Amino acid sequence: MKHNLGSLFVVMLLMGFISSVFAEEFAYKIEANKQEMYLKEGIVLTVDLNQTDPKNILLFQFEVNKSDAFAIYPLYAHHDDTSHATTLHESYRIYPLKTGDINISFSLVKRVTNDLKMRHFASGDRDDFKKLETKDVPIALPPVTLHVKPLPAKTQLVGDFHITTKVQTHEAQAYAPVAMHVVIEGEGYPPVLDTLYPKSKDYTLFSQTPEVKKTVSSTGIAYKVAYIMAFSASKDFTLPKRTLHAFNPKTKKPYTLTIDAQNFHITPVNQNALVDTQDMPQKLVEDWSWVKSVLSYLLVFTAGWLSALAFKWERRRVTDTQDPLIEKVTQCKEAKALLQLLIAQEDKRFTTSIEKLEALLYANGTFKLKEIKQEILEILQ
Amino acid sequence: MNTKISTLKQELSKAVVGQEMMIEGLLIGLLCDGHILVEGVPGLAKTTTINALSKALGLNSKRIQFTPDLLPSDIIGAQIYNPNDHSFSVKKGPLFTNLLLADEINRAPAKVQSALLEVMQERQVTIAEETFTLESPFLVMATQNPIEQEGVYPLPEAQLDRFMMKLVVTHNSEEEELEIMRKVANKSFETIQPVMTKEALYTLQEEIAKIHIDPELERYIVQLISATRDLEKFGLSEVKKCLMFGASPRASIDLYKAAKAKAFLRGNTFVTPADIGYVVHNVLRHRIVLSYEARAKGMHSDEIITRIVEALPIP
Repeated sequence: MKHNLGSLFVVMLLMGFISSVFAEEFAYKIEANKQEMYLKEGIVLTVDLNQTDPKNILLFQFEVNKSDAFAIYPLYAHHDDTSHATTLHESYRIYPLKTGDINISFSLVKRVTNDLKMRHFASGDRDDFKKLETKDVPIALPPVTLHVKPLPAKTQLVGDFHITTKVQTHEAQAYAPVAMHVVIEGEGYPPVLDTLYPKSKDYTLFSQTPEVKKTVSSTGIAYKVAYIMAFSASKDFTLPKRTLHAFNPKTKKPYTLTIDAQNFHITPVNQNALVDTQDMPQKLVEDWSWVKSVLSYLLVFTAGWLSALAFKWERRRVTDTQDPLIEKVTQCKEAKALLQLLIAQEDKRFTTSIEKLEALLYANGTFKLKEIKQEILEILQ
Repeated sequence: MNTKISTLKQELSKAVVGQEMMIEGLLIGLLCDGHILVEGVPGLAKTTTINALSKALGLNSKRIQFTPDLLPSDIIGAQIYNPNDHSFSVKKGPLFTNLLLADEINRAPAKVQSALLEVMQERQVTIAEETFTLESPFLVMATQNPIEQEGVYPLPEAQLDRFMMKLVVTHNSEEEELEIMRKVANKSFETIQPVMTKEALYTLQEEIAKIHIDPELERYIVQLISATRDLEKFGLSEVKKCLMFGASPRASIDLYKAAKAKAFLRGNTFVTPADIGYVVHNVLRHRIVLSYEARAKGMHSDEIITRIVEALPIP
């Protein structure tokens, strides 16, 4: 029992100390540059958070809680996680979307750690990641309250804007598209409208989602919204004058942005000339070209086959007929002519006949030409 | 017939049955210092003939089987490094012989063919920086197989021109084949004895040089060769398209020499038109190039040569 009372005392002593340390650990300042503003009027919310007690290492998780009562866009953020002297500076652009009092609430978590844990965390590498051990303490921050005033009736745009209009041409042929660019530029709530021109039976409107470019600075956000459109018609038409009602919260005065009326002269065209006389794509017909290819191949094959046959027939015709040498031998009337014929043949069978003919021609031999011819013919037959 | 030649032929007949045409072609090549290309299927006694001829003449003979992986140094020789005295010595290749059988010459790539054919022409071999003259006589009998033409390297026309004659060797007759069969079965082939010396061969070559040839026959030879180049001029217009190229001047020289040798082998002291006729096919058949059309018709160069000889009147 004695021991239990001692432990309880120690715990109570520690809690009071943490509370006091917590109270002095860091200082914060959250403020809006305006407390009263018009609907959709942009204000700047600044957050400054500085560690004041360097004993521990403090890390902060801060965010503005989202709400459908306002739109928020970050403008600037600077976090300095230097050990024992953490600072956080952030600023936001806030556009109120509801009238009356609205609250901007925050979420802040204080993460407490020390040098040993930080070194342990920093000693890891990508393959041996070590979690930073912290003690996370949610901090309840009071909300910032804004008083939002309504806009004048018919207001479409809030901010300081100007408008430029660019029309490619005011003359075109029937159904040819005529391009038109309208650019709304300035600082304020994003000047994005559903449509600039309504649909009409006088023309066909082609439009696309407006191109929004924004330029963020530490003091605000500038917008440049381009409306890219095209019109086509079969006859002359007029785009009526278009007036956009805007309100400048800085001057607290309403003003108007105007797009002048645009007259377009359309040259009619012969509609019959626009219609194709041929079916495109062409009507589906059965493709019989493969038959032509097959027939071509067959023709080439047949031609080759017949050529080969022709050579074969020619050879057979030549071989089938009587040995032409017989006729040549028969026709020889002189020994010299017969000798010439025989030596041309390269045939051993005629060796004896050649020798006889040589003897007859060059050695006054007694052989008779007729007998020699008969010998040769017998050999050939 | 010259007694020495008849003795030689008789000695050869102890080992070779038939194939008179091949033996006579080899003798003509040997007597004229020419080289012979033989076309024929395997087993026609080509190696036997060369060996028998070399033994009968007391000459050296070697055989090279041409293959696609053969290198020029494999046939002509190369320098060998001797590590003992750090010197190079020349190892002569099989070309250094008298009678060489270049078997299936078209199986070897062009560089080996060129090496051989150059040696055939120059009759000398250069290895590294040393030039060796080949011993005389030097005869190359190259063979080509008319079948199995896949993966062969056909000899170009310019190389073919270096062969004096191309012989087409055919199978023996049935009677000859029966004799071969019996001789092999009974082991009754006799041993070839040297019947002629190298000096005697030189004497025969000198005798051939003295064989008379009439100027008209000389002109006849030139006309035969000219006709292969201009068929139309000799009234052979119908076969003009069959020939792509005619024979070279080397053909005239070889035909002249071969006709003289043939006359000598027949025992004559002068050349007759028949002597020319006997050798003209062998001298020309590998030197004329047939056109595609002629080859498509299945023609052979022998047919063109026959037509030319038939067309040209003999003196």
